[in-house]
Amino acid sequence: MTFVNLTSTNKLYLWLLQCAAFAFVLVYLLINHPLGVNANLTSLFSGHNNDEWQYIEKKIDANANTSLLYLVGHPQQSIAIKAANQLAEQSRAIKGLTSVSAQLANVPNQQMMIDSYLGYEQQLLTKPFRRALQDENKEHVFALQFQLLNQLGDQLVSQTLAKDPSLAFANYLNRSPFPSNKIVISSDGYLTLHDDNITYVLVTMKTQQGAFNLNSAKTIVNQLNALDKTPAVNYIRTGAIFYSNEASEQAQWEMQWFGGLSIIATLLLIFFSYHRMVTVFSTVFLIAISVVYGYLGLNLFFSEINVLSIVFAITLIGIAADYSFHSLTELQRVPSTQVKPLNAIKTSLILSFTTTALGYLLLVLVPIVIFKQIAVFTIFGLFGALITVLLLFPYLHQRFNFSQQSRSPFYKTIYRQHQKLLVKLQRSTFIYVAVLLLSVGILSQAYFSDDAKSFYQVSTQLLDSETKVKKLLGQKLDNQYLLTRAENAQQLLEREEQLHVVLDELKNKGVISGYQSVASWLPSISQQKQDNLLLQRAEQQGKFSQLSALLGQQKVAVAEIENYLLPKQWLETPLGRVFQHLWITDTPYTYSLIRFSDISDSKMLAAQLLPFKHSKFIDKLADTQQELATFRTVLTLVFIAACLAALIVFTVRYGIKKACCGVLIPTSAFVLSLTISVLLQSNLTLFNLASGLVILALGLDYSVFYAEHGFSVAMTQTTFMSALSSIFVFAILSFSSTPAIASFGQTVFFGIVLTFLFSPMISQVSGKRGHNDN
Amino acid sequence: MNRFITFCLISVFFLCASVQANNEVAADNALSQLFKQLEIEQGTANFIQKKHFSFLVTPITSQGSLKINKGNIIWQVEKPVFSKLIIIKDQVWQLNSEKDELPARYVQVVSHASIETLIRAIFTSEVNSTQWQITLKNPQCLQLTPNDSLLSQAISTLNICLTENEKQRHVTIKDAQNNLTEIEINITADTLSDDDFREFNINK
Repeated sequence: MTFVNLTSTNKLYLWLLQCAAFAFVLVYLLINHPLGVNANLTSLFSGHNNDEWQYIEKKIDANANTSLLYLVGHPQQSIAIKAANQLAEQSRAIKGLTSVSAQLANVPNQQMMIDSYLGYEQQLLTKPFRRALQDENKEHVFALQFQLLNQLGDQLVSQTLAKDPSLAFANYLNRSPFPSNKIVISSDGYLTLHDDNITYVLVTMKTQQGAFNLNSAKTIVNQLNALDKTPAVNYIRTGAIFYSNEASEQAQWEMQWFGGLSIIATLLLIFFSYHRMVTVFSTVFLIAISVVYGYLGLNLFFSEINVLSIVFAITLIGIAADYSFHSLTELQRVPSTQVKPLNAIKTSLILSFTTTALGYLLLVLVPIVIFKQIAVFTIFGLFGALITVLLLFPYLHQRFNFSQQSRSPFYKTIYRQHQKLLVKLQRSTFIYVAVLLLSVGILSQAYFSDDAKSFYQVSTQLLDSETKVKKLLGQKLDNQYLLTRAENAQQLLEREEQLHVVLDELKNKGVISGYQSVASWLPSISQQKQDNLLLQRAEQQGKFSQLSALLGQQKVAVAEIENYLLPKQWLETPLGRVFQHLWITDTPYTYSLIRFSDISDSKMLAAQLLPFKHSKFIDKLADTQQELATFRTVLTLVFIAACLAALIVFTVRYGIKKACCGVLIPTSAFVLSLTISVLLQSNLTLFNLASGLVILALGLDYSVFYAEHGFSVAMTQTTFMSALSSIFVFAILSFSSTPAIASFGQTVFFGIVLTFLFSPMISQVSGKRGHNDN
Repeated sequence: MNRFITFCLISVFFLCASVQANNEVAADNALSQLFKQLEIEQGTANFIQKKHFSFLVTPITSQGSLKINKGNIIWQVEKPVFSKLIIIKDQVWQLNSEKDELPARYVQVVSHASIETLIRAIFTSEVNSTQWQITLKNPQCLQLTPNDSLLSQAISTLNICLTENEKQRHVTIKDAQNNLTEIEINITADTLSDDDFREFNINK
């Protein structure tokens, strides 16, 4: 490379020049396309953006994620209403909240429901009424008609008799379009619930941005927490925003403490090792530069980053710090007057960067968005670190002189102890191999948990609130629904009608307790035609004679159908408006949703709906579980591919024998650390696997340096500092209250300790280049 | 003189207030007394229901039986057409199988109007003050007006009265279109048999 022959000062200018160029690009991007942070674990895959199903699903999810609700309860309804009004009024003032409502406007009453079918009354049948009309026995029709006439507190018959004397229309309307009958709508429009001598008033609201936007979630929840509360009033609330806020609060607290402690420990380690404050500043500066470069990379390629990417991207700090340790240890050795002070380790640094970057580059090919983000962040960050070490550190050495006469006796002791231990380990290689084989056996039997819920530790208070709200409202589940599509509205209604047959069977079996669907309230044209014909035929067959006799009428007239009720017009009626959210038309296909209540067996429901190829049962939790399982498999493949890539690079430089040793050591350390984790945790998660990338990146780095420079005090110092700083950064995560992060930290800890212990072995294997002890 | 008049006026005011307060206390006592008398915690009953439609000369008449157990109700119409409703907690279940078919199948009814509130009020006199406006029409009769806007569109008033026969209740329901429903309830037993208890278990 041309810059190698430049003076230290010229290298500094070159470094400043590229820094200025990158800074300019970063500032431009930050102003024009600021990067958002997303905490949604359920949208890991990026490859299906062109799929319309995914687009619709995402749209529905986004809507569900913005909802939050409060139940404001007090033994006296008037106090509960007053408190609900106060909450609604104050919430309206919060920026980012919208559609705040304590009262329900335009709830369709019975007259509005009747008017929603004006002119179409004799072409609508419920399934029981249709079955009764098809039955030979006239009694079945009369039984339904009499039940309607005899029903308590009901005006349907008197209000619809003139329009449809067969009472088929009254029967059609004799049900609720709402999912629950637990809600009482007060005369002034408040939705109230009564439970355990307390009246609750429902207050609903929406956030303008999704719950997974951490910044807005935090601001809104803090403001909601600060609202005045009426004494003795019970406030129960639920919504995705509260979960995401709690998770981010917890993560922030841990980041502050764990991050703070690990940074202090690392800085002390650097100071202890080099006895110079300037070395501490240089390392901190290098890490900061690498983070800025990584962030620039993310800004260049993404508009939004997932919070998981940030968690994994912290690995960059560990690797970037290693560059500093290698350079500073080398600079300690050479005088400040030397023209090319880093010449001896330049190749090692570039090789180390190449193997790591190649491994991470493989992640870009994976159709999982967070892998791409981790890869971009790490590659850009390491590039920043490498270029800073090569261009800036020589100048710093010239200016501050990092040289030291003698090396710390502490590292000499460590080196001697490490040497002794290595001799012992080499004598018992067969034990190591046996343990490794045993580990593979244990891992093949290990259970991998892909349950996203087990990754978080949600507070009991949040869970209790949600359970209570669900119990009180008997709500339909937002994360389990059926999506159906068709080329036009009529085809969609017909498809829904076909689905009803299966859904009714499942309802009878108790798999679901109910469902809400447009076709239950608006039949397709062909169904309307059939139902009208059925009514006409029933009238001709005298199936309404008993009713005629009871009503004192000569004949129950059924008119022939003239017009059909169509979705476009019905969805604008007072009743149709209740169903608008289940009908999506602003896409090339027309989509509909069917929502379920109380699913007792979601696997059976999914299996029964599988044959409907135009429908898709969305089960958010199960889908996420499946996505995480795929994610885990892909991660394993990426790990193997990264090992192969490193093997190729190492083989080219050192020959196959040394290459195998260099790759096998971090790989086996990972296998052993996974085994220890499974013994401690009883099962493994994706996060245990993810730690493999850190172990591999650091292990390969150690391999390169031992292969190039042999097992020496200087190398022991560098790898020991690297291992210890990584332990400070990652192992501390084992104490995280979030199970996922804790398991990640635990595996990294064991992996790094093992890699550190075994890495020097590579120096004793002969190879075509680099250092050979033999 | 003025002082005397003021004193008299204040005395009269306090006297009126005291009488009014006494009257309110008395009314509350009478109301809770009537509630106690009307309440059926457990037992069986027969009923005859007559529904007078404004468009019909003769009322629609039905009869059947009732079983009540701590707020849970079985309402069974025997004549002229059999039907059976079971109210358990907040849920209304309707028999979906034939009368004597075993095992009996029930489907949950989600009615537009709060039918559960109405039936519970009529047959158990279990009245929730947040759902109903309660007034004492006379020492024997309770008048209820629904608070729920959907139910109030269906019925305007509900009267539950005691009769001379302490085992009898008389219920009238008036709807917004002036149709009148009369129900006569005759309590036949204060306890339930084991078979009756089993009938409440719809998941058997």
